[in-house]
Amino acid sequence: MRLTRLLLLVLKDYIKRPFMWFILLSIPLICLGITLSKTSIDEHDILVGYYIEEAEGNLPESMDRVRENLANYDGIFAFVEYTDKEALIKDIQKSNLECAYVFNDDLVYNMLKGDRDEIIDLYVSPETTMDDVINETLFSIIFPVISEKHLEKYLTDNSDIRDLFKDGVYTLEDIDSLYNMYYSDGSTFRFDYEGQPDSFKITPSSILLSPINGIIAIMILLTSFCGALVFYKDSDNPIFRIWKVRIAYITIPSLLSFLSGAVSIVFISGEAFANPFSQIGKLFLYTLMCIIFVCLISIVIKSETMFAAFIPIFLLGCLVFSPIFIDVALFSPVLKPVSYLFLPYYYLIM
Amino acid sequence: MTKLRLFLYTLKNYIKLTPLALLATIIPLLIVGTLFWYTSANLYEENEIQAVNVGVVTEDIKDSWYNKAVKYLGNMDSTENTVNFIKYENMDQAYEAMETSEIMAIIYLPENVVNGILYGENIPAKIIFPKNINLGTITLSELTKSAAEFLSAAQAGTYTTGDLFEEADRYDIVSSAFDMVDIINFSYVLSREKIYHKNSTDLTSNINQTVFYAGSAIMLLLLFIGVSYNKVLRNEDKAFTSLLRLYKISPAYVIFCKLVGFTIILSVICSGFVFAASKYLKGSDKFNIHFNLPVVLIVTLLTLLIAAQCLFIFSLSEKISSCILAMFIYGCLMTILSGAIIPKVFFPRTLETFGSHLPTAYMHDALLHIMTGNPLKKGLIIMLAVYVAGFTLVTIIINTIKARRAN
Repeated sequence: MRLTRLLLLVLKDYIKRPFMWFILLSIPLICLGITLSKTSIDEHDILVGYYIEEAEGNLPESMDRVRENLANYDGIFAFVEYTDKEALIKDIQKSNLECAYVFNDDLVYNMLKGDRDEIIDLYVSPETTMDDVINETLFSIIFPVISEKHLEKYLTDNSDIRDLFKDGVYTLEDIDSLYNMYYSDGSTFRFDYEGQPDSFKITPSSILLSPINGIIAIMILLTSFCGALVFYKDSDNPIFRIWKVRIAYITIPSLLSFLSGAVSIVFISGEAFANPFSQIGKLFLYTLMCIIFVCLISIVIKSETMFAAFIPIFLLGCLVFSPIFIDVALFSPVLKPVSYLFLPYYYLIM
Repeated sequence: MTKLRLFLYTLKNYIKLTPLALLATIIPLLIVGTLFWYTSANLYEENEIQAVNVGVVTEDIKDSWYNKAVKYLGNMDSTENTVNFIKYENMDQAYEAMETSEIMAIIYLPENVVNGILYGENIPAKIIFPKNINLGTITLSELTKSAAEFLSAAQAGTYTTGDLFEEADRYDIVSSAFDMVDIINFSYVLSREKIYHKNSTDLTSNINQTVFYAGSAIMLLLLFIGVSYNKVLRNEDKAFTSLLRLYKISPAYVIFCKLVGFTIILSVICSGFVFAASKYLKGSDKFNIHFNLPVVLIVTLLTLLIAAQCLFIFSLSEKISSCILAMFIYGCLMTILSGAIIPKVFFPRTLETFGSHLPTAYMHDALLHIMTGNPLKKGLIIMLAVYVAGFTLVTIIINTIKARRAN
């Protein structure tokens, strides 16, 4: 029987399976759903709670400014003020907040006095992962207020021009207006960011889509393995023990997965890829690599049971050692050579 | 065939497949694990996990201020254990390193950037990310934003001082005023981590990232291990089904045999590993594994849920390839949505709530309890039992319907 006819027969067998269609369409549909959801960064920020313990009725002006800066912060964190400390801690325990801070309303005053040790209580839960980063962010919000207040104190009390303040030549408003002007007019240091596609934003959808490329790669490899398993089962019958059957059984499911992956890539292009067509080209090359690899493995491993036993660990190895969710080699270079054993690694670094 | 004989036959089939499943799964794990721990003990004295690499490129590579700036970035409390700054001589080298994933991003400091900061030119530094976003790039962008805010505030103070001194014609002493303002600002920035007092709302929690992701990896392995036992888990062929019908053995009983048999095998294997881990990892600062009756019961319940899920997946289709693919998609999707791989904090609120009630979320909590000895979360046992009952019931219903259609 000709190879093309065999390929078509196997294709017909796969097309007739509704469950297979469901599986092949699941990833593209998930990708489509995530890209269409378009949750903006404003609708989903990482929530951080804070509570200000007020000693007296009114907040000092410095704390009002801290509160205003926290409310206006523009980033991936959203700072939410709580009026009840117990409610704040309960929300942490329920993981409604990433973490929370409790501080006194005389925080700025205390820091100016030099009292800086453990003056902000940080509350975390076992699921908190970003507290270190949020600490830096919180401090970067408080610091401008403290810096300005300390500057005022220095200039009016200790500097060589303090007399000018006593004589009324300069006032605190002069310091305030100059400081805020320089802080906000763009004349100070900044970082420029580049390297992302034009339409790129840090959104929940981009986070959820970031491992999709790797998952597609693994699915193609897995369907190649599955095709080989079917070949093992059918090769009990001597009629099926020819190389053309092996190739047909492994190639067709791999190509069907490739099509599913290609459609997914088209759906997520813009969010994750600048050029989907070059990515699809790389995916096709990778699919061919998988077909060849699995054909060779299935020739080497004669036993179906052994082959099936080999799949879970290989799958897990692909998930861990290929840079799908995280690149383990970045954290532990000794594991980098292990990555070379897994095909998805080569696709993902292309 | 009696019911007992069927159960023993099923168990025998599981036992026959176990040596190969262990060989193909455990030995590679042991090899990699031993290599990892041995090498980390000998090469990386303190941490087996090292920080992620970020490349730094500058024209001012010999400038002492540049070296201080890189040191400052690396000593930030939030970066010290997570980011490692590597200097490159030029952008080509850095890009090449980023292409091969040796580094996660590039920070480019143009010529005279440090002098620019000191003397007011403020040439912006560039941060270059790779094509695809990931959690590391988000973290780095927030950290650099914070670093830029510190510098901006400090510079605003310096420029304000400069303006006031110059207006007062005090050019002769303005540089000492600049130094004083810098000292004031540096004193705050360099001691900023001391202002926080960390409190855990779960006082017994000692879960760190190593333990958390080890739990995720173990959970995925347990979910995928059903593939090794596909010969037993998959639906029987028509001849065997007819035989069972002849002996009036219901599909529910067949499911029961497979469920209990798989649970026995998995719980024995997993209990063995917990026992070995409790001895080998005794004294570890990350893991706190005890081998006692409550742990064995949790392991049994966990493996019962794994078995129920595997049986459910394999009942969906007659074709082994479809079942294996379904197992993979189910395992990955459930693990991701339950927050065991990507932190839930990045999910939309509704997805976060939904994910925390998935079976894999409870499985992950159970594994973390076994690995750390933390108290069990409220309702965990009940939810695991509910999911076992749910998956088993659905599997029985599916198989009963299929059997009736075959009749």
